[in-house]
Amino acid sequence: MILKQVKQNSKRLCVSLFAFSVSVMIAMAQSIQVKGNVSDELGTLPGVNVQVKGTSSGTSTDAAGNYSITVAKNGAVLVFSYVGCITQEVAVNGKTTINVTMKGDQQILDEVVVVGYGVVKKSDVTGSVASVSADAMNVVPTTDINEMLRGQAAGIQVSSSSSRPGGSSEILIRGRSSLKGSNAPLYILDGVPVDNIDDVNSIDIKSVEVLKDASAQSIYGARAANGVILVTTRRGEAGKVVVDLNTYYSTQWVQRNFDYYNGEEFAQLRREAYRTSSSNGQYVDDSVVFNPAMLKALNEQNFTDWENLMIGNSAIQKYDLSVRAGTEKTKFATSFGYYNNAGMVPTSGYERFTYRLNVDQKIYKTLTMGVNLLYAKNNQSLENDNFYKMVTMDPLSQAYDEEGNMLSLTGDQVYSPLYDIHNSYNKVDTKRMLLNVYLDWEIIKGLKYRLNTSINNRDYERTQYLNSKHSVGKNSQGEATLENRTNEEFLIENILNYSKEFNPNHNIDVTLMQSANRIDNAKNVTAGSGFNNDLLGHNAISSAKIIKTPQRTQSRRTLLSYMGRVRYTLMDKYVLTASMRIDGSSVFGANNKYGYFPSAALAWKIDKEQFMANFKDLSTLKLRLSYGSVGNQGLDPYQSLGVVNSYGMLFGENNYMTGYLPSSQLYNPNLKWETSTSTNVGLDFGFFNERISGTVEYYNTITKDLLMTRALNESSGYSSQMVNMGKVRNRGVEVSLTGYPIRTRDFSWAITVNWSKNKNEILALNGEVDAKGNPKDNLVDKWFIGKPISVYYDYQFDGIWQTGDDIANSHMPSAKPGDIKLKDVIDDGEITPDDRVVIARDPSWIGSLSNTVKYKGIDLGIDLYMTHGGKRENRTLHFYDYGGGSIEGKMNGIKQDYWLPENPSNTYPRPSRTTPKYLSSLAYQDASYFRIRNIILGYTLPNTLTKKFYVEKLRVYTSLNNIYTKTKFLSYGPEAGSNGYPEPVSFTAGLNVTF
Amino acid sequence: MSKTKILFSIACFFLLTGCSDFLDEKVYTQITTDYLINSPEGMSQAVVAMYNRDRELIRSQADPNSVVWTSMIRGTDLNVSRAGDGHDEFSNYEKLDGSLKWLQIFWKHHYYIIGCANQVIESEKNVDPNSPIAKQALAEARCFRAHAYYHLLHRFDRILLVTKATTPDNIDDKVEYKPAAPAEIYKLINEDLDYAINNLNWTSSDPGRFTQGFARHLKAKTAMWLKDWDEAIKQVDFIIEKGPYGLVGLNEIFGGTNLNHKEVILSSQWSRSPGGNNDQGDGKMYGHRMGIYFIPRYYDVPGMQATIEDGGGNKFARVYPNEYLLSLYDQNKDQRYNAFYKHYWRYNNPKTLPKDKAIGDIVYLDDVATNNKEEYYLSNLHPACMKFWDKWNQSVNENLSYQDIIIYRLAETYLIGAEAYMRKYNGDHKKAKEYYNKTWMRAGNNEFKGTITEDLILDEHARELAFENDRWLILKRMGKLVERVQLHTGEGTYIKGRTNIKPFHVRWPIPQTEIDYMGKENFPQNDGYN
Repeated sequence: MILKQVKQNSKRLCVSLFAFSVSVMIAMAQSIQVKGNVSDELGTLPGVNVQVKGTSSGTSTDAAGNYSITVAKNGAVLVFSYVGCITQEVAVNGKTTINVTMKGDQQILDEVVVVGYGVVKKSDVTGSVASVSADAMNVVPTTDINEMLRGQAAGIQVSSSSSRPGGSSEILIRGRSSLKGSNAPLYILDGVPVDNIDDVNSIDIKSVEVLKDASAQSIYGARAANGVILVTTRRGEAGKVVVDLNTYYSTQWVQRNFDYYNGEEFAQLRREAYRTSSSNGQYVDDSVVFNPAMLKALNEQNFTDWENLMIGNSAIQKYDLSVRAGTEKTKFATSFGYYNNAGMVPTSGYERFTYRLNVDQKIYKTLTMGVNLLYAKNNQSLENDNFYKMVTMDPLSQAYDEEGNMLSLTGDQVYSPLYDIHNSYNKVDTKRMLLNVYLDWEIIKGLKYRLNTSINNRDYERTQYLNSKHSVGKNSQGEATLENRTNEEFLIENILNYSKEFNPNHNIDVTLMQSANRIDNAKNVTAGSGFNNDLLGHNAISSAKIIKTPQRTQSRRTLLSYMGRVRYTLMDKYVLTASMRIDGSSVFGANNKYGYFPSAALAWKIDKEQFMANFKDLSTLKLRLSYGSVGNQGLDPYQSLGVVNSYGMLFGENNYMTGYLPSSQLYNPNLKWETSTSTNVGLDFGFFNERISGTVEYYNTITKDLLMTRALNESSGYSSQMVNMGKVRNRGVEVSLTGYPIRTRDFSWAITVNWSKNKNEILALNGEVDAKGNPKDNLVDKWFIGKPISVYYDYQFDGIWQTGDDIANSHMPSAKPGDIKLKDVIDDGEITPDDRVVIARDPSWIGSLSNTVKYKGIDLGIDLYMTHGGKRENRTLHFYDYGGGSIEGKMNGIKQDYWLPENPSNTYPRPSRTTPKYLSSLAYQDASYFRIRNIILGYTLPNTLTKKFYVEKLRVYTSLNNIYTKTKFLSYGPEAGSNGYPEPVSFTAGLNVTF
Repeated sequence: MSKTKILFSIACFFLLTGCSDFLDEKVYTQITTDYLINSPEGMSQAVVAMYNRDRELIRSQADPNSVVWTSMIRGTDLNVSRAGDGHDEFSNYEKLDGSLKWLQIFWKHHYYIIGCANQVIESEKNVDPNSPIAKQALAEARCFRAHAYYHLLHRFDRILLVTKATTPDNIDDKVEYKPAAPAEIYKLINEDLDYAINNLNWTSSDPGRFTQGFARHLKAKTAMWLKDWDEAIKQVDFIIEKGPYGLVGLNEIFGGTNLNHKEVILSSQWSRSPGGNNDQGDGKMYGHRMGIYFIPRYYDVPGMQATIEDGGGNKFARVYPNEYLLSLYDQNKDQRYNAFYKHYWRYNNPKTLPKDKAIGDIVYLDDVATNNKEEYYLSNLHPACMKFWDKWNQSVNENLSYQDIIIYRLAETYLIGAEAYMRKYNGDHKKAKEYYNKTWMRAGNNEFKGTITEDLILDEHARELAFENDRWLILKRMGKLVERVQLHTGEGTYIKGRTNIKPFHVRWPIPQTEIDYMGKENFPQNDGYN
């Protein structure tokens, strides 16, 4: 949203402009002194311009809103004007006291919202568009734009896919609509589609709009099925020089809501595991249970705290400088940014440098040209191996020997992750350049043409070296890998816009667009092993003894699009928008290249109707209806062609040959568009002059011809095939509310609530029916008709078998006391695969509540976030590779109250030396959580003070992120998942200076 | 004026719409199936890739610890298992059901190979039928198919018979999912092998490829299942008389990292070099785990350290020869007792040497202070099968190996021959004795002159081929699996398999995901498994 034509109403709250009245006394015959007070709904209003109509004589109100002016006794008219308010004229008519209440000007206050290929006034929006202000985003210390959007608008679900430095998040707009095609939204950065938004420095962002319904999205047809996020960056303004300096320092640490086994507890767990598995059921001697190294550690009580070794506190630093300036002809905005996050796990980290330049130049009175340039360079360092292997090392293993040297092989025949990460590196360097050039030509009044072009380049280089001491590298005297990827994207768009107001009652706006888009990806991988020394790392690749088969892949996808949109406004009450987009995409089968995506939407500004005139408290009421369809082409290239993979084969020691075979996925020459059709009903309302405002929306989206990988019977020789089939529905309700319990000039309190509920349901699959004629579920892919897309399918945990239970006559006759008891769901007296149940993953609703309190220069913000419902598989609980949940005493894990003959637990089975059967049934934990996501406290120094140092604004702040989380999901954080890089808690201190 | 402008802008607008081939997909770095199915060279290259893919049965990304291959070795009368994936299911015959992922991997692997073979075989109609390159490729593809069906059938008994290549055009054709009659599968195996016998040479310049010798060997093995003793005799005699094979010295059989000597009929090719392992292009090596699976952690004993000669470090210590197997050797005469196994270790670490011991003394279990001798013995000092210990190539603590894995060797051919003559002539045939004596006498035993019996064949099979992935199958073929496992599997108190095995365990359960796909009403689970 928010290209505001004038200063926003709320800004008047915080900008304390003290005007000093200068009385100009003009001696006049029969003049009188008029005094008064000017106020608005927030109280007295200083700085209001008071002028005698038709003269140059005037004054302005003082800090208390009072004025005094001398006017002619008869016929004089006072004009009160103030930015953002309706100018009022009052005839003096001999009065000596005139008090005025200023009213906000709705017309002027109406913000402009970016809707793609143009902007509209907020009041004219017909589709579902949510706006997020830049201020709200920048409170989280991250480079992850999606993470910044979390909780900022109803209908978006952000889930962290990697919490590592430089990591990113998945964002879902109104639920999952695609099974296989990507569910990531389309990002449009200043009019250019981009697939990755995280290279944009958040301080350059002016506003973010989320297009949520099909009518808003359909102008981006082909790629819009998962929603569109429009990002607009700041530009220079004429006559104004603004220099912003922002910096913060943040420290990160982890919190967990579970315990590990300590050294003694772990030793006991291991003894129990051996006891259970021993042939006579007795405890086994320690000399068998523990190898000499472990036994020594146990006897000396010399335990290793691997978590402490592997995760530490880390720091983030961010420095940004931006300059915006301009004249009527030339405007520019530029920024430099530096970000550094050291990483909590040794050797992990992320560093980024960004540069931006936006220039607008008037060439001729009808011609304007502009250039937007983004350059970003980032270096990511990834620790060797899986994070969870590190913290689940058994505490009896030693990381260091007695002389303090790091050990390679520790305790129970496991390589030390600490040793390995210090003897390896894995770095990803990315360079991103986005150049966007546009030309605007006003052909005749109202008819505009824009040529929009862009080149978007990303160079990616990954270098990895496992040195000759590393547990893998030592077997081959060092292993080096160099991987280079390039991504090149071209776009040319021709946009014609015609806008005409025939008379105040008829307003028409037509946009036509044609574009061509090409994306090229290439990848080269070179790997080698066998180095004379480790001095040069991967740079010694040319001296490797063995050079592995180099890899090369290249792909191209193209998209050809046409779009037309008409917007018609009748009497400023009824707004109709209709659009059609046609897209052709190369990734589909030869006969199915083109997709057609129409939409229509209607908005009715009820508040403008005559019959609403009596409802004075109601300041806005707008009903929106829309219907439209969008597509998804989220497919990799060449899936419709039968491409094959190459495989090298060495016969004997010398006969190397290359062969080819199709992959295990069967190609499909008939692939076509996945289409989502949605209906949206929205109501925008505002009461008491927008003191309470909000939006309620209902939507129903049906996606058909889903792109999905169906599993094939393995006996076909293939495992899967990408197909179009089935139908999915997303239905939901979204509520956004903003209120101001307190709104005075010095003290304000704003509350924003976003709440959304989405119900995802598979309506149809491939149409196969079972013997009874019911549609068949797909058990292999875990797709069930009537259930959400994203589910687990597993047995249901029903406690632990206890000594004395009549196991022999139960539904699990071969179980032993201490084994997991499953629920006999279909109640047929035995456990069969039919007893598996469907477990939904996605939350049933998401809510956020943000509070902003401002008192004079102090601002305090508190953001709360909550998700409810949905279960997630906690892999730490049952997966051997990632932890000791399997209670075999091999690796450490979440401490459990496990069953023993002496401890009849009903929550966790008996430890043994093999993974307990059905352990995964225990792993589905409620992933609901409540979190205090952010608390921020800032102080802005008084302007009168800072001005002395040529500083326009100076704000210092501190914030706490993710400081409190309440959840039943046992992990370092419910978002990061149990086997990923842990979610950090952070404390930040920062400074914003504007010159 | 403004009209010109409008026309100009409309022209601009459609400037880019002229390129009609803009949306055609162009492939740059991959070739398409067209090439593979329409030229003899393409067929031949598909077959080359199949060798790479087939190697994944021994170790793959989905099975990084070689569990599938070692599970096939488990659960016979010859071994005792300490622990590890497959310990419960395959060694102890408990918890075995269709949900076990190793079954799925095994099933999937073989049908993938069959699918690839079907595609090559169907390509015959697209190319010149007399092209020698095409014939060679067809013969090798048929070997792949026959071999895959041989293993699927004998592990599951009830399988699907697929002989057509899957294409996007026929994938949605209605398929009737029902188990194929074994006779049909045997018929296909024999047809494929006959084609291979007629079109393959005895040797290949590429070690590891299928040869006429392989085809005849597998034909003989198949004939044994069909109780067609004449056919088995015919193939065995032919291999022995006409083939280029010969027995090598005992120490040569597994004596190197590259096992392509004259006793080898087929071996899986592994190497550190490109194309020699399942390199994923991620800079890591992907060897197999056979080198660390069968050796105990002797180096954890005080006074010991890991050395190459002793078997290396970082061992899984999972499955060992049991007392019964070792009892089958005449320790004084049969050299296999020492060539194939390591029975004890000697102190080798001065740093941790117990006071009363010297370097070079044999380590006895009684030297170690432990109250649980059996468990300690199994994890640290149990005699070990050394057939897969790659001391030529592996470094001390390396946990991946690159030694070739012998799939079939001439020793087995002789034993098949001996059994076939024994069956046909009730044991007292000179050829039965001659063939039996080949491996028996190579090991240093005196010539056997009595009557060959089934038990003798099984004993010699154990002595010669233990741990080489044929024991479970030969016991099943002779109908002896349950009886033998009940009598001998495991040792000491590690004998759960003896009481757990039930008659239905002679076949594996069908992978649950396949039943889910086919529908349990069409293709129910094998009896006994739920």
